[in-house]
Amino acid sequence: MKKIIPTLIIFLIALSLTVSIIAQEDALSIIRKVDEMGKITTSIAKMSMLTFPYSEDNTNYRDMKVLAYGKGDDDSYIEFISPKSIKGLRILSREGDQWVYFPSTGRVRKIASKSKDKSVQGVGGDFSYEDLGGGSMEEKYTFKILNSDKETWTLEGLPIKESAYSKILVVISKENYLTLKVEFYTEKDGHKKDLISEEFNTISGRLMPTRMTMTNLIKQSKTVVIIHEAEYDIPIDDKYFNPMRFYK
Amino acid sequence: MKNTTCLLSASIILGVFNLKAQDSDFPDVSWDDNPTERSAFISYEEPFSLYGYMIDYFQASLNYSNQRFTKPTFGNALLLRLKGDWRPEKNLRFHMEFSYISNVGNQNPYLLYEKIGISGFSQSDYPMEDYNQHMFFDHVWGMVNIGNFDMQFGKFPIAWGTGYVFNPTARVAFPPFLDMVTEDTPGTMAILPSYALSDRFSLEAYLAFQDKTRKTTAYQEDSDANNLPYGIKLNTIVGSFDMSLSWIKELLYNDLDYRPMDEILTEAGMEYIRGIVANQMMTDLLEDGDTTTVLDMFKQGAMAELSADLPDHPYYKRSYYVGYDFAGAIWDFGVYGEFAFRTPRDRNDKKFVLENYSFADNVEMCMGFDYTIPGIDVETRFEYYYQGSGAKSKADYNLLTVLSGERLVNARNYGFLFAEKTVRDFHKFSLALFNNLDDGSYAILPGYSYSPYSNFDITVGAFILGGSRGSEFDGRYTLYSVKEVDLIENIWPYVRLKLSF
Repeated sequence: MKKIIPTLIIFLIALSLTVSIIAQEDALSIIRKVDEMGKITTSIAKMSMLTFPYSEDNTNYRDMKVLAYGKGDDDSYIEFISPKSIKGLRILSREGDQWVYFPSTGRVRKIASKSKDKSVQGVGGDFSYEDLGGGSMEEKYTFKILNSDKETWTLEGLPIKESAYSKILVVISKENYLTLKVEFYTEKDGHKKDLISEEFNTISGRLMPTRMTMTNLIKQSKTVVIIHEAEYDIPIDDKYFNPMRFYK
Repeated sequence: MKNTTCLLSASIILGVFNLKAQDSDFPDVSWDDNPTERSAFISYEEPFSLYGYMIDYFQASLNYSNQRFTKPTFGNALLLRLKGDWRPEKNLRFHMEFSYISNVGNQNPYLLYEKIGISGFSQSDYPMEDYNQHMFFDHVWGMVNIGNFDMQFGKFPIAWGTGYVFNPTARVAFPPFLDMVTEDTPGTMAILPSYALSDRFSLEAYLAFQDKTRKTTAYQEDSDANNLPYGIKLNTIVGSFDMSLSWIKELLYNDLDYRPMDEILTEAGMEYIRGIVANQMMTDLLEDGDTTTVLDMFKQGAMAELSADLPDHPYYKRSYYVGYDFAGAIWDFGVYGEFAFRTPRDRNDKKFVLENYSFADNVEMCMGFDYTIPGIDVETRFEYYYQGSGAKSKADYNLLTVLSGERLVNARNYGFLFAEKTVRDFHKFSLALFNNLDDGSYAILPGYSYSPYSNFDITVGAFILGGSRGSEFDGRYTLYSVKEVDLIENIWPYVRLKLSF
């Protein structure tokens, strides 16, 4: 239970925000709108993360509750409220680096090694470091429209930089530019993971999903993130994003 | 009429407050303090919480030799750790941790002391002392944030350094070592101010009020400013590496280390004998009704102590270190290192001298890496530790130096290997190897942990110790060049239960 959720809240928002309807568009302009609407200055949220070791068994799971603070595209601070076994654990993710504060030892550890495909076990569930990494979709993938129906576009994204995935498929609502689903593919496993966004609600004037489910089709496990409360573009003490004193 | 008067009074009071609130420089006070920052503190962070854990640890100890197991011993350790957090205001924090610990059977350290003859007294002579259980506050501290300045004060862990098993720059308290019960770094009475110059530079320092060995006796010299440990550290971030440079003063108190074993035994034995004789003599006198003589004996004893010079306690060891540590990444490897160089001082701790200074004897360092094997998600770690002050040969091992808390281990070179695999969040398999690279002795720690619930886990494992005769983890020591004592058995199977609440 000692690893990282980097920029989770930002990631969720980036995938899901609203914009007015525009009809015929190319892949790049669609993704730019999704990215543009996902931009925030700050965020704060109370979240639960439920990890299910067996995706078909909804009775067997772990529940973690965290306070998550976000700033810009890349910075996030997370404080664990439960389970009690890791209460007080704090994680700062900033510009691709992570620091973890362990209250029992009073020590801050730099977590620098992160295989991109590595699952953020215990804390991240089925989200890998790459899934949760910051940055815009446009920066990470080149997109083309694979399919277009009455309600959605399906875009295929190929990685621009080194990636754990060989491609992703993104399903976007034509009505509001919300990302409804992302399919992740790897060379080795083929269709590996699905991320589904549900239960869209307006929070702080933004329409966004309050329930996100990542299913690992290979391991047959899943992780559900639920946002209970959130606010955006509000003042947050810079202390939370300073590696020198986020734990003070 | 009475109600009307009360209402009128309330209106006047409220009226006054309304008038005050209309002053332009008067703060806007509402029921919610600082409502504009409500999101960042009031409604989200918990103002108060009480939580903790308990661990029950059951261990057997036995030897395996000549293809036979010896009769095992058993012991149990129970630890309760109750923690509390209060945040009375946004920039104020209070934290406390209360501990109850009980050690019985082979988990009681006094059994080892008696085994090697350094207990110095019989526990039955002190019936009011409890040698099995203790209760104490380990961490009690406050934190205040003022701008970029933070100050922590009270009793709290000062955990400097980047190493996982060893921390050469953590020189105020010993961490738990080969200990399956204690999880928390011991608190140290201290004050620790820090200032963040930016998000890449910070300066911190501590002034501690306890020696590293945590002696339990009090002497006049404790109040000498020369016997206060301190540390100053500059932290920085360069690229993906965190680094720090420090200056540290360490204080040890170790009277055991200054005297040979046989002297201690002789002295302790004689004290013990004298104690029995004196008590018996007084008992006999009291039984005869001769209280005057007994009182005279007490008076004479008191006079003798008062007329004598204050005892000198030359057992303080002061050392000064230059410290450096780093942590970062090279490819997918997390790498770290930590170094402490003891500066040359003369024997009287009066001045710096370079004469006969050996760099190799005064360096303590650890370096290591962690790596997750892709595909199978096995987390691995390797750490190398060098202790320049350690013994250069088996003959120089000094058990008392370890028991007194001055050193964690005896020799100079150690390796630590660790691998862990988590299966579906519920099952965790681990294997650790701790190896004395000088004499080849080792400790192997296999373990399996099952967590049916988030706040409960059960671990089954063992310590398997081995090495040649006289090696560190073999456990057979020759005392006084005469008698060989087997201090530690070489197989310790255990069961550990942990419940968090």
